[in-house]
Amino acid sequence: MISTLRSIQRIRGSSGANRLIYYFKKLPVLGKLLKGDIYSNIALKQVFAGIVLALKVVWGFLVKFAYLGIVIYLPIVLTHKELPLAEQYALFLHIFIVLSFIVAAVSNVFILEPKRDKYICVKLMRIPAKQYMHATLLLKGLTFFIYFIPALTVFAGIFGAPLWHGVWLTLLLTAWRIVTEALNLWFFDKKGIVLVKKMSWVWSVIGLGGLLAYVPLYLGNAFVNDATGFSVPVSLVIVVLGGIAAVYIGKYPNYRSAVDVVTKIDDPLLDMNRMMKEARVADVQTKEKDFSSEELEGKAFQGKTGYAYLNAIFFSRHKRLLIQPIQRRLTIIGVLFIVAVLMMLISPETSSEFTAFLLGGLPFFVFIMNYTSIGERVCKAMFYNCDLSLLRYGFYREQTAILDNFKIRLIKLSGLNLIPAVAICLACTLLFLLSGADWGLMEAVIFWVTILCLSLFFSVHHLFMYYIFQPYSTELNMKNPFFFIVNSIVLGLSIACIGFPKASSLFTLVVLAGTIAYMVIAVTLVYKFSSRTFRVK
Amino acid sequence: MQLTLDHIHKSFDGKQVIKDADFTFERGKIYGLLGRNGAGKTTLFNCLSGEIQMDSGAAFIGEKDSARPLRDEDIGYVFSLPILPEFLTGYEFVKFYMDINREKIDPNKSIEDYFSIIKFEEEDRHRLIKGYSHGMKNKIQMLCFIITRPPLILLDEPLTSFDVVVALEIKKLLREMKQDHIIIFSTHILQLAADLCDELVILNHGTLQEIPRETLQSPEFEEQIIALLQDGNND
Repeated sequence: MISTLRSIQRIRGSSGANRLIYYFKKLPVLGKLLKGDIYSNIALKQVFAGIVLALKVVWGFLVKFAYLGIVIYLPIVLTHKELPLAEQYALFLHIFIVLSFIVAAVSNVFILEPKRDKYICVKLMRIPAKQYMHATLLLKGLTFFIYFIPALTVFAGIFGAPLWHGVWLTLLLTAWRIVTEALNLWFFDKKGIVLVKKMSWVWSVIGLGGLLAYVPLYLGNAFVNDATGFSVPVSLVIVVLGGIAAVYIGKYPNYRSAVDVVTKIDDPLLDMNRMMKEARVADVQTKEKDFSSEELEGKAFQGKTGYAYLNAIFFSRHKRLLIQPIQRRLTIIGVLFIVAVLMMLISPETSSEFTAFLLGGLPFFVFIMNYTSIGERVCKAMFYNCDLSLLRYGFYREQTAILDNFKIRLIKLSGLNLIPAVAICLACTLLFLLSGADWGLMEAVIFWVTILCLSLFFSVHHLFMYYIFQPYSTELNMKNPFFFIVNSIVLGLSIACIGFPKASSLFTLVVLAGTIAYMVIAVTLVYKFSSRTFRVK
Repeated sequence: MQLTLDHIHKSFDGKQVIKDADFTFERGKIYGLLGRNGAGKTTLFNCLSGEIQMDSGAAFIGEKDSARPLRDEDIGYVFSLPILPEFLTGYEFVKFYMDINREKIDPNKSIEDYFSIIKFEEEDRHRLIKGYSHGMKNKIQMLCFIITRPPLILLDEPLTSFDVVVALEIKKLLREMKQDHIIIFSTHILQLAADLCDELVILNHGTLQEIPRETLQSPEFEEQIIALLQDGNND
């Protein structure tokens, strides 16, 4: 077993080291220090593997502290600081027991967990499944126990409980989790079902468990206290069951199938990156069955040529992708409008306060319009479905082509974004008129101009960002740090606007000047630089 | 007309992939660029097409005394993995391509003519490219250079994805076209290179090396090439 453990650790060590080197090389300046041949430098890699191991151990301890601190301790002190320590401790125990003994036992299964490590060691490296599982289980059990002790003792100490509570609780938890592991394994053995892969089951338990865990925070008292938690019979039963479960797990004959069932090569759970990638791609993809053959004959686009033709087809084939978010935004605006009208009927006082807020709250709309814009989504779709392939062709990268395309897209995107903008204007105008607030023609014009300007601004903004920073890589995760920086600045400014003094006309003037300046600069920059920046990276 | 590579260098991560590629390709010939897997064939093509920047060196095209730097529009590039916008039908893509290259194309040919040149089935023309097979996508890519007739045509491992019938059609097509173009054809399949190409150039250890024409016909051809390719590996 020790030698198996050692070989598993060696495999994990070198893949961990490789990963560390890989990410280190991605760092701006420091990354250049490592040459391409570093992967073959065994001695240096051992150093890296050592670093990874040390980091893992430190991380193991920290995670437990973070879990107990952020998930359990913090909510308690935030809501019930006034309670005596003993009652706070009872709350702590309650949440801990529900989350760690019940929820985690369902969502965080080890033996039947789909994991790359398992695939690599058993399927690729051919370590016998039983040996692999025995070795990793032993390691997992021990580290689980050791990592939990300091955190639990410290938090028990904070609540004034004796220190042995922490150790004892860790022991009980470890024993209990061995029992639940055995139950999962037994269930798989009898029914052939891997419970942890049944998402509806896992998420129901997480949902209900989360509710059950935090209900006492509202009620102010826990369902358990340390007397039940630490009573001798309960503890004994758990420990004895743990022992029986450990024997069952140790003697279990069929690990090969238990490993096989969770290491299917196409299992997306094995590869988080791939799962993310597929999710992102699905977000922007077209489906062939969305179109009839007449549509594909393309009679509708016959009058158009060149880039107008291309974009007309693009926007028509991606309707689902473009219309859906617009529809959603319109629905939200509609629902909010109805709610506001109802409020007006039911409680005129709150409603008049609300209208007063809306009337003076133009700065707030900067923030709202940012999220109303579908620019980012459209850019992503354009990149993945269109530009990613066409940018491989020289003609598509020529300046005139890029600008032609940019112009058409800007008009189309602005048009799409104007739909919810107009809806917002209409809804607010109606509300103001219905509320009988003092709202003249001048205010109306200011309101409409501001909102429509903002809508235009964010259309330009997103497209400009796309053409200048081209943030997407072939797998759709963003690559360009400047994209984040500029985006954060715009977001920060739009939040800062909320604090703007509530003088509508001045604000409108500032917004107007700002957006026009930004648009002019953005379009100039696109004209000047996009032929160099608009590339697949 | 000729294409001159002038001391092109390209390295990734400190590893020299192309080192001092220096060669002259002439119109009217099909060149086979032969190299082992990972020798840098695609890198060389990407450098020429502007897909990636070369570290140093340059490429020129034109008559001997009036050569100018190679530009994007001089090149028709068929990628080994065909890359086409999948939301268009084949017909739409070709129409779009013809639209924007209007001034370069033969006004007497219609889109249907072009499709029949590459023997593209009528019913497939109006299907989304997304559903096309590898070979069909490759045909569409080839059609691009048939339409715009750029002086330099780069084909990155093109015939490997075609079945025997289509491969023969394409071979005929390339032979018909070669008078007006410089065609460079990368492959690691020796027989294909020997069969189709007029000249054979080996890319080994980042440098280009011409194989004498006589070798192509000689019975020991295969052994000689293999020896050449293996040669550098022992140092």
